[in-house]
Amino acid sequence: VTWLDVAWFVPLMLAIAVVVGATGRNEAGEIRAAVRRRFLEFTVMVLAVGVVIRLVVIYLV
Amino acid sequence: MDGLPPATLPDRSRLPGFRSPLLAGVLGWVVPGLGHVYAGRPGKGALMFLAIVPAFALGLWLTAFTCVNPRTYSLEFVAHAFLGLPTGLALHFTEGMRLEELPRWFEVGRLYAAVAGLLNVVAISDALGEVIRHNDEVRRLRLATWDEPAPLATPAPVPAPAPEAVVNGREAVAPSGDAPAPEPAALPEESDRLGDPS
Repeated sequence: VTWLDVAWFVPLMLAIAVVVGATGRNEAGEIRAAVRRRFLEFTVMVLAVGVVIRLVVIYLV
Repeated sequence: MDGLPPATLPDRSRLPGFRSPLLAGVLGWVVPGLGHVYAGRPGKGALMFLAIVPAFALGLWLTAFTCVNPRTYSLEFVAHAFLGLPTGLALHFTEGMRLEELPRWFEVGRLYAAVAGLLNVVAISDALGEVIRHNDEVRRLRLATWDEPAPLATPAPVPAPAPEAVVNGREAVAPSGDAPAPEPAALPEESDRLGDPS
């Protein structure tokens, strides 16, 4: 897995963050804050899963 | 209504009408974001469109336009089916296309297209919520303006009843003007009531 592989998930995470962040919200500022928060959450989640997989590969394979 | 000032009359033409949740759902299914436009939220609709349709198009491009195929990828097609027009166009224009070799990002492209379809489910449900919110607001406005009960006319003050004399268990009629008060009917004698024949 290269950084380019991981980078392909960034636009997808952005799309998910926009849709999920905008759902159920009305104000533009509220939507912006929610999208930013969701995107950060997804980024941390994907990076954490990537790191875990890397560690598993390094130590067990 | 003559007694009401003109400013309080409800202006029926200015009140927005109810919108159909079913139509919003269908429009949002056909084109992502169109349900929001129908619900009166065009900016949010554009946001949904710009998030979902490019993700679907990117997925198509990464798979060399072969990922929308109900026979080969039947499970993913369930997700694609939530994008009405984009999936229909993809089916129409990519029918019969075959891969010479697997693109490098083929799996990523499949993920993009499937996730885009599932994201439209979220967008459709949000459009339904927007329509329901709009209809609640219209209902509230109509209750506040249209169906407001007309103010009741102030009733004329009722004069307090004159003290009435009670004579032998009957209410006496109060004398009015110069007319003499009628004499109360004479009660029968006690002997008459007892049926004394004498």
